[in-house]
Amino acid sequence: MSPKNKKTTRLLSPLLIFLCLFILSLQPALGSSAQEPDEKEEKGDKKSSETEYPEKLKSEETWETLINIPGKILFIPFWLMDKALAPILSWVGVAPQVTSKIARLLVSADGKRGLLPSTSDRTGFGLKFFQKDLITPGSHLDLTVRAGISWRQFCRLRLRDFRLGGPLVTEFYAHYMYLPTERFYGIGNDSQKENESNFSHLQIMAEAFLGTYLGQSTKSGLVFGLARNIISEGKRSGVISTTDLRPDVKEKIPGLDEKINYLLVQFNLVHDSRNRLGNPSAGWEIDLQGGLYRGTGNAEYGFWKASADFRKYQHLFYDRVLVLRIAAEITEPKEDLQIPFYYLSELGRRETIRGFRRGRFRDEDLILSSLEYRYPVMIRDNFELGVDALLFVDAGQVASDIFRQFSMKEFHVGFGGGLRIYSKNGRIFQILAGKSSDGLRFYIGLYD
Amino acid sequence: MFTMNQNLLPLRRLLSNNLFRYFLYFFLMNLMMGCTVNHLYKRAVVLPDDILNIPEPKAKKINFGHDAYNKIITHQMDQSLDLARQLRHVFGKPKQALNVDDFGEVVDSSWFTNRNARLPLSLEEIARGPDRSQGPDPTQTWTVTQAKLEGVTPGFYIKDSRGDRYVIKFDPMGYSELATAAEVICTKIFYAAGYNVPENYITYFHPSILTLAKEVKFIDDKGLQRVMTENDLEKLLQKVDRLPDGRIRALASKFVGGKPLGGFRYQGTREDDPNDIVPHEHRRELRGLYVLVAWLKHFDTKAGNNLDVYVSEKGHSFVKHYLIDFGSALGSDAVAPQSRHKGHEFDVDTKALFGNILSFGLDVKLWEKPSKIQHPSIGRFNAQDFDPGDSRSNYPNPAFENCTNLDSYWGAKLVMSFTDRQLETIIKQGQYSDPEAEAYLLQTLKERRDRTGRYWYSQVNPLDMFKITQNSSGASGLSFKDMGVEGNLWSAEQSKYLYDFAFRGETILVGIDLGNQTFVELENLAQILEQKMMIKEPYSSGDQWEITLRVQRQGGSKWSKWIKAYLVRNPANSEFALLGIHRQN
Repeated sequence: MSPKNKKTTRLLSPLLIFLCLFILSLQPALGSSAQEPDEKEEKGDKKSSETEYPEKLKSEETWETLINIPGKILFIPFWLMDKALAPILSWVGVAPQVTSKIARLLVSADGKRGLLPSTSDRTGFGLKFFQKDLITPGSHLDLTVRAGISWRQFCRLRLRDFRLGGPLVTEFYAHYMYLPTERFYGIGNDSQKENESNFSHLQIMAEAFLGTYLGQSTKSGLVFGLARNIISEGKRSGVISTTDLRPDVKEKIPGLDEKINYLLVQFNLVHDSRNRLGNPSAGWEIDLQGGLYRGTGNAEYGFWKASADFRKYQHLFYDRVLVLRIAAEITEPKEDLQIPFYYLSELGRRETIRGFRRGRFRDEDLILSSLEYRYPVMIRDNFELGVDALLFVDAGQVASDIFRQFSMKEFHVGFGGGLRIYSKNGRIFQILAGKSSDGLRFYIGLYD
Repeated sequence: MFTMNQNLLPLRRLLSNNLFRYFLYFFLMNLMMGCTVNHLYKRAVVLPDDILNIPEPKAKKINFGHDAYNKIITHQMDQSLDLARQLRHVFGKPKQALNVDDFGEVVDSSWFTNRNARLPLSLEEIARGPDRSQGPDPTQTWTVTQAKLEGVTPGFYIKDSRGDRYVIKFDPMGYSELATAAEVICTKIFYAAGYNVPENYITYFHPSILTLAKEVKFIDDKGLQRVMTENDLEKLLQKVDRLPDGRIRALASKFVGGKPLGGFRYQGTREDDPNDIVPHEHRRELRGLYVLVAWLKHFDTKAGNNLDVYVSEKGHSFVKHYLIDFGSALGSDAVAPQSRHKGHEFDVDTKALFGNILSFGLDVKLWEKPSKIQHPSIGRFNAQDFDPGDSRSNYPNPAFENCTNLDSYWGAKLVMSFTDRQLETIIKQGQYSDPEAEAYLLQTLKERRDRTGRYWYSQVNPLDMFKITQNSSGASGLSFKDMGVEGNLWSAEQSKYLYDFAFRGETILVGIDLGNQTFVELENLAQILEQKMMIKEPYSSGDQWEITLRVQRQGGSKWSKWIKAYLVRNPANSEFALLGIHRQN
């Protein structure tokens, strides 16, 4: 026996022997189901006089108390947390007028106006203010402000479904976005993860839509927009800035280190026949867009962009739903003009292939397919809330000419799963994990 | 040549450590001790009356938010780290209730009074329940003294013309009779079962009889607390359905006599109540309540949805414990029909959530399937998706979590004590306007009752009501009843009984077939004993007779768990006395 072992044994042996004898003398009731009369008779037999009360029975026997000592020690942090939360939860409970006031500040009683937290893995955390039925019934205004790490900022104003009269509808959209650590891996389907660089992207955009409803679920019209994009040095430490790449590399990245204004004219057709907003189990979401982007004050940039995005919700059984998606995007330079790299089709974000970083693959054209299986894991009809789990597989490819270069062997694949919490008005929160050849990525969204 | 397996080296090192060896010996010794069966029956402790005079305790309010957090998070962690509890679970020896007598029953107390299961109530008694008056007089003025600030249902407090105080609660709009009927029906059932409940009346009144007292406190739509006005009262009543003649149906819950002290928890004891000596999570009447609430789908059994009252009765002043608020029972969720998950999952059920995630949606539970509500006055209540052994309240309840098979058997006896006619009479008190809804509820309650009995009576040996009687030829014997047969769950012809006989801890007879007879002739056993032991007067008053009984149902191959009845024989007059029973858990 080692000296250390001998010392431990010498110290603890008498204590252990005493402990064994003590517990044995109590005849623990692990096997016996008969009660211990001697101890309890003593307690129970005390004939109650008016002032002499019986002793309270213990909820634990002595051997249970002893054996639970390690567990009690581990339990201390939870006990402390409970004690710390008690006054807060008690205050919430006894001050309903205050809590309901706070709740009223967040969302009005009729649900038409509210202030909610909002988070996105791209733009950070912030607040979203919304107002329904502003000016005209059915219209929806929201203002979102978010900020995140590395001073990323996002501010967006949207006015949707503003009816002008009859089927005519107009919408307005504007945003300010500053993302100082956007990633660039090169152009092409075979861009390598090791070629990562980063850049700052400041974008100010405003768009106006004028269109008409073609039936209850479909609207189409024209979008006129103006955007200003400023690309500059990336702020991510430890990663080279895209603006610092070799000149021969930089010259193949049009739009880098420049400030460019664009005019946009685009045709839109949107169809939404989902049966429910929160957890649709039937219907289609179709988004067709096609338009021209033209750099102003600089004849160097101009391109056509067209995209088609189809999503079908197929009910399997008891709210188990398959979501099939096919999307494609084509970007063509106009005549001899160029396409700035940040307007190329890109794969690698939550909206395309989950599991890859944003901007992982860029090129003129894109094709994407996705299969998602959603199933309910928590049903709470009375709260009008639900939680679905989802499993997905996304696959896609970018190419300079997708019609010639299409090949399923070139597809990049991401797969994973997640949870989404929804209400009857739409998705509230989701957390996803996507795995790809680049590794594992997590995505979080709250009222985004 | 022997070579040491490299993988065994760490174990060998561990075993060579004396400290570890001592722990191992200690553990094994305790295990062996635990495994030895004690043949001698020890009488149960007689707990003192819990209605001794005590000074008035302080009123305390239970905060629902904190209690929910505590039960969902803190208490679950505590249980997970409770090694003794885990060991009990592993060895199949759960902690039994602390307040039972020699026959597994509870005595009358400030918590519970043995009623229908002990001696069936008449139909008149069942219909009356706890009511001792006619309810508030709807022909006279009602004075609104306070708006209801707690709970989810709208309502107010009144004082009627006789000076009696009531809480007035309403049905949700569009679901007339839903909550009020559920509340009254459950009141009658819990009362007949033995629990203390308030007097609940269905009443019909015209709004014109209401007058506001001065300074009635009220919280408005904006969350401001202020004095209630006539306008506020009118707005409140606009949210309530009316009958064609303008009257409103409501539930009038009479204030319980005495001083309200707030709710009680299902864990621990009340510190300022010296009579409250049994931890609540180890009280049979609270553990066994699980079976009744599962039967009635009364999921809202949180702490605080009950009431401690300081009363003066029978010449003593003590705390009496009431169950209240049954609006979330049967198919009602007080403000709407119950959500599909009620009774099947906790509102926040992490275990179910993880289970559902890992099932990938392939496990479709019966209750998950969308079902049309057949009767708006009943809500979501059926027998098809009812699993008596897997029922959930809105959040975990410590007493229910400690409920053993024996506690559930006790609760099942309460449920099974209700005959079809009794249920029919109780349901009539709900005053449903639709006879089809009434018939549906009766059928559903009957089916759920039978499922409850069949399930819990199969988890233990359901032989009960042991007595020393004499057969037709005057011979003494041990008679018993089969609760499964008594409850018409199985027929006498389907049931067979078998017994073993032991004396002074020594087995004398094994596997004696009784057929479907529920009588063990003790004189026969005495003769066999004499012959076997060659003793003429073998009995001292301390010598225990142990009769172990088992049941087998037709079509089943297994014999049930055992039940042991312990007797002694008085050597002076050779009369037998029953000491008690021991039922295998």
